[in-house]
Amino acid sequence: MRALLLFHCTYAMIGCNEIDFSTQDSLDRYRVIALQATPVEPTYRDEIQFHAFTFNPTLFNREIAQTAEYHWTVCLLTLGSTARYLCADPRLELSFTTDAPDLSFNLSDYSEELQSLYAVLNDRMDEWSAITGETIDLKTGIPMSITLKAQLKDVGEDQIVKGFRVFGEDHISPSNPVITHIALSQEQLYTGEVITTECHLSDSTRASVTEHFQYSWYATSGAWQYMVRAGQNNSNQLTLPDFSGPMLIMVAVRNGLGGVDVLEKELQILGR
Amino acid sequence: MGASSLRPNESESALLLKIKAFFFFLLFASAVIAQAEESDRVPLSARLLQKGDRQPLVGLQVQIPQLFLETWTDESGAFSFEALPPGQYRVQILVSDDQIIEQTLSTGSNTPVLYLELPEDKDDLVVLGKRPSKEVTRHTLTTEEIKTLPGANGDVIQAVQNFPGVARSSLNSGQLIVRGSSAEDSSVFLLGQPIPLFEHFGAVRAIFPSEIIDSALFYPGNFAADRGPYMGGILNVQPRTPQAQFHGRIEADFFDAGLFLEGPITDHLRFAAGIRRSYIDLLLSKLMNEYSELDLIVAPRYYDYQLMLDWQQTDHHIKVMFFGSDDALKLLLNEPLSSDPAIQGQAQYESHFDQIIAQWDSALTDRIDQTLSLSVNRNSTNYRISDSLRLTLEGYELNIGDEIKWAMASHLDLHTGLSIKLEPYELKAKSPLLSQGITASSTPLSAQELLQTNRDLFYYTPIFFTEAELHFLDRKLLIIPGIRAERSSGIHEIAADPRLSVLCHITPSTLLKAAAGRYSQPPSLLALDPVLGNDHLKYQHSMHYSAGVEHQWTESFTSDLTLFYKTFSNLVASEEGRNARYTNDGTGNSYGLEALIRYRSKKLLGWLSYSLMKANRKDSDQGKTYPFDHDQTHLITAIAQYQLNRNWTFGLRWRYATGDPYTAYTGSIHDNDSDTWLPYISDKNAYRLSSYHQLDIRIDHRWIFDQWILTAYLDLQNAYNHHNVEAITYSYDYTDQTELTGLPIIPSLGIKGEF
Repeated sequence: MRALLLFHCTYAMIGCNEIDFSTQDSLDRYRVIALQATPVEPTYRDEIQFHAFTFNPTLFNREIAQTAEYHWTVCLLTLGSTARYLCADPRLELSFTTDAPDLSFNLSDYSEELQSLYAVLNDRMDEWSAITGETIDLKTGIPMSITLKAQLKDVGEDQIVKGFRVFGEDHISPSNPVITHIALSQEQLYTGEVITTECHLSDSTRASVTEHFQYSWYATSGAWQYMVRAGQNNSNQLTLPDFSGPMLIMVAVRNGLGGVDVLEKELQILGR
Repeated sequence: MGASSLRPNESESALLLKIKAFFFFLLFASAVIAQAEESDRVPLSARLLQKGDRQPLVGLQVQIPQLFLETWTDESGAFSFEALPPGQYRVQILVSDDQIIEQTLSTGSNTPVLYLELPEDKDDLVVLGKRPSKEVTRHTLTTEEIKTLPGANGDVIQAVQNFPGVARSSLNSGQLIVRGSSAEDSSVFLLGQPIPLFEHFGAVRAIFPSEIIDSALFYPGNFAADRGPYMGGILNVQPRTPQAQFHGRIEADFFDAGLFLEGPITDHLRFAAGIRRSYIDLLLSKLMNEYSELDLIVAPRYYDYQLMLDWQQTDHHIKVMFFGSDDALKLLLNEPLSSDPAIQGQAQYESHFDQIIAQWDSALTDRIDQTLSLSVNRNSTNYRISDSLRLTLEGYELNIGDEIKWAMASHLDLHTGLSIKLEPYELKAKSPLLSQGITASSTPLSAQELLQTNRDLFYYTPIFFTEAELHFLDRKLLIIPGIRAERSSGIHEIAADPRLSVLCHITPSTLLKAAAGRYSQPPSLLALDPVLGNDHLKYQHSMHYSAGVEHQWTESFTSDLTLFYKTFSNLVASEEGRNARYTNDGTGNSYGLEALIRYRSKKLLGWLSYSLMKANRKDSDQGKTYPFDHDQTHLITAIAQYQLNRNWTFGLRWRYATGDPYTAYTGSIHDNDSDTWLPYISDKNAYRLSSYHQLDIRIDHRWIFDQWILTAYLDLQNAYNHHNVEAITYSYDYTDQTELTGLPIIPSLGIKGEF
């Protein structure tokens, strides 16, 4: 009740106040858009690959292109989102640095850490359950997280965190969605026009009935009708900017099962 | 002359006989005429009622100067002169020592009704009665004050917020945040029974109109053993006895419209009935639907109803109240909220309750009074945000109680009671783990694990209290030791709370007072849920200590100064940022000073209240102490209301409150899977909003007609349009922030017809 009231009051107050913040669909700075894990739900013997989808404004302007540096931290037992993915013990944190937005590591390389973790968990599971109401084992999955801090020298930095669960050997992981293309309602794009965009996924991904797709749209300029759409609403409307030249749009699709894919498309806006 | 000369002659005798016959005829004729005149005489009567509200004018002297006759009006305002010659008479009505109203009335069998406007009293003093209370602090509001206080909009809860010790609630909503206790720690009683909801939507408007209220008694702490298990304060609303004549009221303002009727059914039975419905939904739905992301299916809509029956005979008084409330809000989010994509689709809040309270007061002997009470309410709350968050709580609450007041001796009164509370409920919910932590509440639903519970609950709580009123020093000293004990079947422990109050009149107009006591409050039904909360939670406790002095300077001018100190233990809390279940590890304290000066005459109401307070909390033994969410150091309320004449009343209210503490967001991290940003938080309540101050103005104008009164009022809130900061809002990634201000200047017009 309080949440609904708060939501309503906040809506009302925002309505009465003029607020001019940058919105999340605006590609106006260096950003990490999404972090993809493959497999999405690994077993403790799997090699996991992580890939970060970023928006780098310097790459969009190729004359000043720069590459970023990526600092990764894997936590082998996380306390979850409400604890801001705090690691249950600092000894369970692993750090990596790469110069590409990719990281792969094999959980079996850390069998010692995992063995001691499981021993501790077994000893203190009753206490853990009493506090969190959750039992942790390989059947329900060990909650882990990976945090990426990406830095672009002199431009900016961004960070993202992804939680994932590690299961026993016989676990079948869901897949990441696959975006095949972004379709536009028209070929010639003129300043100030409103166009419709559609995000198309591969059929195999869409066949899954348990997936609940969520589409997040981004643009370097112009204005989206919706920042986020869900379910079967894979289209959106974009009001093109009042100036001609190139612009970039991106769409990130999440399937509600931990899977994600991102695709970008460059548009050329023509003057009238 | 012989003998014959001594006797009258025949002619003389005949003359005498004629004279006698003539006088006899005159006498007979006079008698006949008199008889005829007597039989022609008729009464002259009339009934005098106050113009407008039709209240009988009792005890007025009425004269017919030309006949040197006088009489007085009776309890119904009627007077009568019996057996007057038919015709018209000039009647004088003495309405005051120096003012006479003249009316020309005709004799006859009819009793006309005269509607008179009495002159305003020259003596405008109102005697502020001596307190019969047994509590250290009790503040009283009359119906008239509730109706006309500026800024209160006729709402009893808003009016109570003007008393010292009550913090200002966000957006001036109707919450009772008393002496450092949360809003959930205070309650409202009607006819001595707690009611499940006292404000529509928990904060918008009181669920009963001021018309049914006789008085509202507010106890900010250290209340007596019979008044319930609350750590905060108590507002005891006393419904008034319906009037002996038929009266009614129709009222409409910016928010709602209502109808109220009252009157007699038989000589001993009277009724009052009211109904009210909001229509702000009609306006809001048009406005809000302009947002493309949001459709209001049902904009905030509420209604409430009341039916009261009052039966009274010599030693028995039975009151029955049947009342209820219904709130609904439904909206449709066409697309997911970008800040929390889990919020999409239909969001709804529905709350409904019906309650019946029956109270039977009887005098068993001349020393023993008994009160039997029965209260049954059926209530349901249905709250849902898309499929992510659902709560359905439906059930009954039954209270049966018996209280005895026994004047055992001249210096000893005993008050004892026994009751039982039964609570069968059905709970269905899908929600994240309940937690009071700001980290959890600021985490989008999309990023939280959702739990489900589906349970039938049945709690029963036997309650016993007893207290003795010991009078000493010719009843100048009153000592009240008492104890309250209860055991909830959901908690498995007995809460036994000893309480003691001492009141001493050191002079007829000066009262010293002090009290100490323990107050135990059970956790909420939701907090006791084994899935969402913790079914091992125990009673929460608060110790109240207070002392003060009251002085009555003149008959209409009083002051009240109170010092208080409260400790809290076993509070339901959860450790910040640990995703942990509720525990009873919370502690805290609050302390301060409250001062209230009131002046009240028939024309002028003046009110100045000041609170100096500090309140702290700690969520666990290892946790840091932090300021309570509504730790408002200074609270000032000044009210002046002046009745210029019968038609015009002007009122001002100015309030000042130190800004609430708040927890700031110091950055965030993007949560990949939910595509939301999770804020990092500062130390809890480490920052403070800027101070609040606001001026409210109210102007009432009455048009008084013979049989009804039309009132129009303007309640101008935030008259100098101060931008009071109510919250801080952030950009999606918490890198930018700005202040959200509350309502600007709001003129609220209302109209009311009373007959």
